[in-house]
Amino acid sequence: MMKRRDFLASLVAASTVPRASWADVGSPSYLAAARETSGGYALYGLDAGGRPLFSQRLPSRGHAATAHPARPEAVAFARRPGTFALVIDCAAGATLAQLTPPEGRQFNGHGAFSADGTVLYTSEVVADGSAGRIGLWDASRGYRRMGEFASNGIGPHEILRLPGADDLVIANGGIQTDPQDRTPLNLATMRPNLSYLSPDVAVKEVVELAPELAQNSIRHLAFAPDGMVAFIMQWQGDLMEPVPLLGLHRRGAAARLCDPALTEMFAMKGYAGSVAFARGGQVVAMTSPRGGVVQAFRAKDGVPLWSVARADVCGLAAGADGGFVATDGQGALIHLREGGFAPLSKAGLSWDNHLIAL
Amino acid sequence: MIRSAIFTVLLALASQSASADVREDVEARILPGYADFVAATRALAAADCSSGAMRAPWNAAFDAWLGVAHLRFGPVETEGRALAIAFWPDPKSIGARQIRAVVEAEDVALLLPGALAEVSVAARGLFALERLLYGDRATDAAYTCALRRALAADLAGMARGTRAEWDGFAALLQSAGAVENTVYLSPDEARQALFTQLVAGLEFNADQRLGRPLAALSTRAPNAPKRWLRSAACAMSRFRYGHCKALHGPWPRAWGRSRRPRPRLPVRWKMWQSWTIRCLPRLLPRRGGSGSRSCSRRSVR
Repeated sequence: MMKRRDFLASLVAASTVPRASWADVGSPSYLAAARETSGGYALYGLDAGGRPLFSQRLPSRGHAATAHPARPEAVAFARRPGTFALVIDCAAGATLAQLTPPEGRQFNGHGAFSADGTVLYTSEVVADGSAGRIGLWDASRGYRRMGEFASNGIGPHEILRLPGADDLVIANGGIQTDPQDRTPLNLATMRPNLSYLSPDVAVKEVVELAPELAQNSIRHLAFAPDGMVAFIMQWQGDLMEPVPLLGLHRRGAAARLCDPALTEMFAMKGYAGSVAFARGGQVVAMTSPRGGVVQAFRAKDGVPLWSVARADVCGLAAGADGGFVATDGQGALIHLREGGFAPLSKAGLSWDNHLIAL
Repeated sequence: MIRSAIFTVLLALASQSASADVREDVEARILPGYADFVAATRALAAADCSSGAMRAPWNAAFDAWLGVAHLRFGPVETEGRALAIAFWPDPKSIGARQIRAVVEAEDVALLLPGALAEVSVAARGLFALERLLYGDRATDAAYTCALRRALAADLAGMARGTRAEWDGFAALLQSAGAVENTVYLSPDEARQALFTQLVAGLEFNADQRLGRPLAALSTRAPNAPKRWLRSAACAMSRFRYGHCKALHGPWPRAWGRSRRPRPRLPVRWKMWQSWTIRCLPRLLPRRGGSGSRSCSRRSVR
């Protein structure tokens, strides 16, 4: 007969059965999707020096990923219009679940976990008409679909959960696309916005750009430790009439748009691909694979600080020494700081759009 | 025997093609192009500053710039030189406003050597000079004259600086892939950088220098044609096939003669090829009618 003490001890033992954590996969610093030389696609976990720690095959081209806050699980999203998202157990190297959007929905390449890791939010559109939806998946019970709510706009792209809260910030790009081939259908009437939504689906705040910037599609996001949100845009208007592609926003205040230096005004070619704050949040940078350039700004006042040319650069995340790490289509990871860069690693693959810091 | 010797030599040449084509581009086209620009801007800076005496050397400097204007990497991007040399397009007419302000203020401090380097790029370079050489502001008032001289000296300085820094940059391109080269991490990257210049230059010419004025004319947008025609179509009518060929020449020749399998092309090559084929015919100027002098005069009407 089991004594009470033994019973209690076994209970303690059961509750401390080691569950895999990110440390068990070498505590990767970054996740990034890539196309390999074989033509296949994979999601990579990378250490701070850019060396791969693990990789997992993807059925087709990836876009971004998001990491579970505790368990070594990453969700890799297909490029839009996305038909899959893979939940990958990075410790076991296995696919835990393949998420398929419900009938008539498409993934839009990004997602985020709730603070406690129980819910996965996915950026989605209603295929017909591109109305934005946030899909809800039960991350504690095998990623069952739980439901969805409206994203408060057309064509949402990146979504982030804000630090220390369960509020989501959503980049509603505003572009209605053809469900099959990504052709934009509403450039003349598009109205992108940045929306803050709480988990009880209350729209807490909406940022819209001035009417003359209505064709500046808000696509990607980053936040600083102090809660400042950076949003970057893709200009659908005349490339020879350049507009700011970076905005900075604090809750309750007006957004500040950051003009580049006059000498850099055409450098981005109207297209910002990724955005990140440096550690500490004082510097924010964005990349343009089309322009082959990274531009950095002071977060406090949006003053341009430096720019670095690097062909086909896109993925961007905070790096060591107050700098940034970027990936490019040539397979390189580079460390950027103070207007210069140094290569960290180079692999025989082609990095996709985003570098996700863990 | 002779044939096989030649073949061996060709094979040896072709085997170096990856770095050889970069070297050929740099040494046979890019550096001479910048040398021409340096010489032309030096002549412009040395010219008498009356509008009559400066127009011909200004045209020559513009021509020389068009030989290298498609190169938008390396030293010409340092300190925003490319836009400071040619601030175009300028849809908001920032350049016109700033030059007007400078002329009206008659700030003599701006005439001191080096002072213009601190001025907004919109008020410098070839287009600032153009505004003072043609049209209402092409007077020979003392300040305008002195400002033209200062602008020309500033332009010549940028040309000199660009060419001087190209020595180091050329070494960087040619040592692509070497351990100590932290800018171009493989020979492919250097070659790709050159191709990008070519393709972007072609696109810019087709879409902006030619496409915009033509589209503006056809849609009769109220204020667009003048604005865009100003220096645009004219610049293109002077754009010689040779310039456009600047980067186009070496690689197909080197690879075409080789009996070895072609190096694996970058994925985007297909795209480049189709762009080139699409854009090139549009760029071919009507030869003969390319007198740059008359063209520039027309451009400012």
